[in-house]
Amino acid sequence: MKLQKAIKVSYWSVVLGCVFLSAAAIAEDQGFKLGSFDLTGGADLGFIWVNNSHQSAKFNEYRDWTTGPVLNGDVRAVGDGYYTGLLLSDVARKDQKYVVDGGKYNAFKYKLYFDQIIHNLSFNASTFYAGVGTNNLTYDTTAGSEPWRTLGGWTNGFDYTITRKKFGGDFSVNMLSPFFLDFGVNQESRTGLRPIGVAQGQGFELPAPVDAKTTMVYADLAFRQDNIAVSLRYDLSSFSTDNQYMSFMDPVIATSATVANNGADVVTIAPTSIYNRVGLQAAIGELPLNSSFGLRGGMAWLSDTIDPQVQPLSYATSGVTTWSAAGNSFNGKIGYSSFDTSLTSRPISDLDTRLFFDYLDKRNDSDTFNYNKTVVTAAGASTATWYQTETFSYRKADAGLEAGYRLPFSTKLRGGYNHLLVHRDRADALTTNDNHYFAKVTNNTLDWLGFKAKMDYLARASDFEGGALAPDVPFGAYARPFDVADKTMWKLETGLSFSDLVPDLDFGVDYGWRSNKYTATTLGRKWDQTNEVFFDVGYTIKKIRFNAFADAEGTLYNTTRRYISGSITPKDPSTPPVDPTNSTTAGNYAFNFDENTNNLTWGYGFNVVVPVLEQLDLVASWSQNVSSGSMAFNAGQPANGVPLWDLNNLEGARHSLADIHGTYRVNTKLSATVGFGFDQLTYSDDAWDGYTDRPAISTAASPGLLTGAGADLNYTAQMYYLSASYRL
Amino acid sequence: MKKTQHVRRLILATLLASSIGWLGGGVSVAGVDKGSVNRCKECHEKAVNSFFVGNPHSKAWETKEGSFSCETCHGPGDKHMKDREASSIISFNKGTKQDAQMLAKQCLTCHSTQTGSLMYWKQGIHSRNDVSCANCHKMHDGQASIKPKAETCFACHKDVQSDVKKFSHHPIIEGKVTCADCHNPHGTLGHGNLKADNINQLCYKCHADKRGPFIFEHPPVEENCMNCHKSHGSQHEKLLVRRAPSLCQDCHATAKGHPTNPFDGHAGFGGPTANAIWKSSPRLWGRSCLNCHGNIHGSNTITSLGPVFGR
Repeated sequence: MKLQKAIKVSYWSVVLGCVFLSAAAIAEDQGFKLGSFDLTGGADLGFIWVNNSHQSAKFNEYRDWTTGPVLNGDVRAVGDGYYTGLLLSDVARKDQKYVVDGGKYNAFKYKLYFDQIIHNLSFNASTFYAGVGTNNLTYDTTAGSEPWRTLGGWTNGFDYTITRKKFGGDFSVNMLSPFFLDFGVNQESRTGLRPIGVAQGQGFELPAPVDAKTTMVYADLAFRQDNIAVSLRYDLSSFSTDNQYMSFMDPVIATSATVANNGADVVTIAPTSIYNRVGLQAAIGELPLNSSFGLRGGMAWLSDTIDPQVQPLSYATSGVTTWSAAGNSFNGKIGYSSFDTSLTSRPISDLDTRLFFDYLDKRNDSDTFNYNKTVVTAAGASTATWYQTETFSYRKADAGLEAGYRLPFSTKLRGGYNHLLVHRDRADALTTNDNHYFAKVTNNTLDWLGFKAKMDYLARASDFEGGALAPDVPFGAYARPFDVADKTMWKLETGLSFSDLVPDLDFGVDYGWRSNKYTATTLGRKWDQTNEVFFDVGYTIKKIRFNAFADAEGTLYNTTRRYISGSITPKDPSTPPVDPTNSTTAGNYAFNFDENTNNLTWGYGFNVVVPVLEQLDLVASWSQNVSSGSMAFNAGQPANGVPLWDLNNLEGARHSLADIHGTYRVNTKLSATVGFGFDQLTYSDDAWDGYTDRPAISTAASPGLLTGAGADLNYTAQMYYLSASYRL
Repeated sequence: MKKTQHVRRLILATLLASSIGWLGGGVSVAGVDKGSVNRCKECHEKAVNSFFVGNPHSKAWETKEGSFSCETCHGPGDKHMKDREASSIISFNKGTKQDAQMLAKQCLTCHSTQTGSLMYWKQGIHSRNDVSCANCHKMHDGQASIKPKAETCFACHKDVQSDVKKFSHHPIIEGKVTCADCHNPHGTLGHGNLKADNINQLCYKCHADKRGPFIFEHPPVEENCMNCHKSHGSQHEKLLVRRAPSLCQDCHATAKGHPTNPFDGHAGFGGPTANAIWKSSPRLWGRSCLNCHGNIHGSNTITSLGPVFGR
């Protein structure tokens, strides 16, 4: 199969390479003209050898660097008011892309394209299930009560990979000016496998099939003349899949003596849906006070009609729970209404202003329905409880103003304020009010120095329905989700850029700092702080071009949570074990603890181009990107005297890249390149080290079953390559 | 298999033929004032030559009614020819201190009507921050240079340049996603120059499987994808703003039991499995919360764990 693929890749590369080089030769004979058309472009044909010590998906996460030929090319013809072009990228590889475009100036243009994106998630995964790639996972029921043990071979190996193939066309018609028409259509197919976890004891990972298509159509009719532009746009997006759900045999249910349904279980993969949007855009310029007005309104509808699946049974040692829904279909209906408007003015040459208002209404008008839970205990007693599904809607209104003023010495001040109000149909944060201010100053008075600084301040306040929530949410009075919690935020960004401080030397340094303090949070994230710095330099000396960069980002988080042992059943927020002001209960069954996280990423690299000879350039580059993290726990009195252990190694990644190549220019059109590349990732993490697909805690009632998703990150690869390039 | 091969050959042959076949007729209407251009060429030969060889502006002028020359963009050049000062002509050069909005206006003279994406240029954040067209576009070079690449954006957006190199990122440096796929750098009316009414509707263009509608929704997901994800890149898997379980626990601190428990150094694969309060736990190891809650973007399965995305 691999040989067949290699032959196929070689065939296409050679054929297309010949086509391009022939076209180039023809073009050269005619002085890069074909008739009255100027011809530009070229082709690169080469070969790459890849030696990857570990077939990690991460190495080729979004690319296809495998041993074989490489072909890229482009050609463009322009003349007599027409133009056309062809782009070929990574021909016959898994990340190939082809584009044809063209048109007539001031009349029309078009673009046809095919683009393939590979996303490799994990290689060499395995499972005891049969039917991988379908929406029905089964296993041999004769394997016994713990198939993950008895089906020890786990020979059903597979790769977690998703391939996207998108093709389509865009068209624009300008010849009817002042009326303009844009329209297009495209379709993207996605196929492959992704991991999905289902709750069943200690983690249960399944290979879920991905086989879906998204078809998009748009049309935009515009009137644009002088200072008025108006357009009406329609968008359609249809998402379809044959795998809305996946069935799987659940060994935990199947092995229960009290259940006789062969363990049928189900999980949601993705719902089919249709999205329609109608939008109106308008802009009017040259208004009084040198003003310009913009308006955009949109209404969108997202819908699906599906048959909700009901998990047939769930099993616990205390009995069996069955679920049923009142009604067999679900009509999903979500509407988005948005309205944005902006008025910019420049009443005097040194002053510019902007007023804006943005509004978004997301309405969920989907069906709600009742479903019940019936518990049959081991003794045979039956209890039914009814629930109703909920829908989530929200409205956002954002209004603000800002102004910029030009001072002497190329200095500009800018400042602004906006207020964001969010209303939610959500129990834990009904409204949120954001008051945001910013101020910015830039100065470019010196030819060799640019300076900028910006400060932001945000004050957020939310209404939490009085604080106390339902009794079964014991921490409701104290906990605050970080996305809606009251907070104050300060942010500073500043930068200096130096240009030609000495001849041909440019460099810049930027620094950013952000601090969030969650002012009303007792349990949850209390504060976080980020520092980041960026540095880059470019220098040319004696035709040697040198570029380098360095950056670093560090983030600290502080979170307070409260542990309550499962052996006590507090429900009322006033109960001492729940109340976090009662820091520790007798016997350490409840206590507060802090989680302090420290994340750090940094990187550096350089690139140098050395013209060794008139016709020969040597290029060398090196870069490293490193990340690390740690988590320290600070508990007043750990439960039963067992102290919490810190996590000292989280996301310890080091990605190293090196490349050295030489390019020899035979003449102004033909060149040859030979090079060597090195790519290495080392990864270590307390949560991944010692990975096993059957963790030791597995038991019949509570299995931990993984497939290998995300576990194959480390790799070391060497690449050797050569290529010939011909440019018109 | 053979049929597929034939179809592929036919498509490629058609594409190639169409590219070459397009080189047909057309009527040349010279719209260039060569006399004016030649005066500039006396000093700016390289710039003029590159403009008239591969630049689409010059080709477009050939068929457009009117008379075009360097002065069409750079303004009257008489004074400049006398004093040779950059300040006496409209200059788009690096380091120019001329008013950015005035520079942009030169381009908008033609492009405000021809190019729909420029409708909101004056409302956009780039315009308000004195970024003009020539900061991103090279007007004298060929077609490829006119359309900016990600590196053009990185020149100012250093934080984004740093993010796209991180452990988890959208395939931007791989060239499969461009800045312009999500942003309209010429300006929009909302925040971030997004090419959609809001963030979620933008993300759903590519991630349509996440848009629902779902029976069981996850409110922070529905409200803003950026509550949990960074758009360009992150040191955390899946472009998360923070790794699981901490990210999840930053909100799910409201229930007794495992959402609020500490998953510490005991909880890795090698941790104790019995007779300990803190032990090896799927809430930390591997994909953490996602080991069980695989449908955090929403679910249509009614189950004992429906509202918490266990199916």
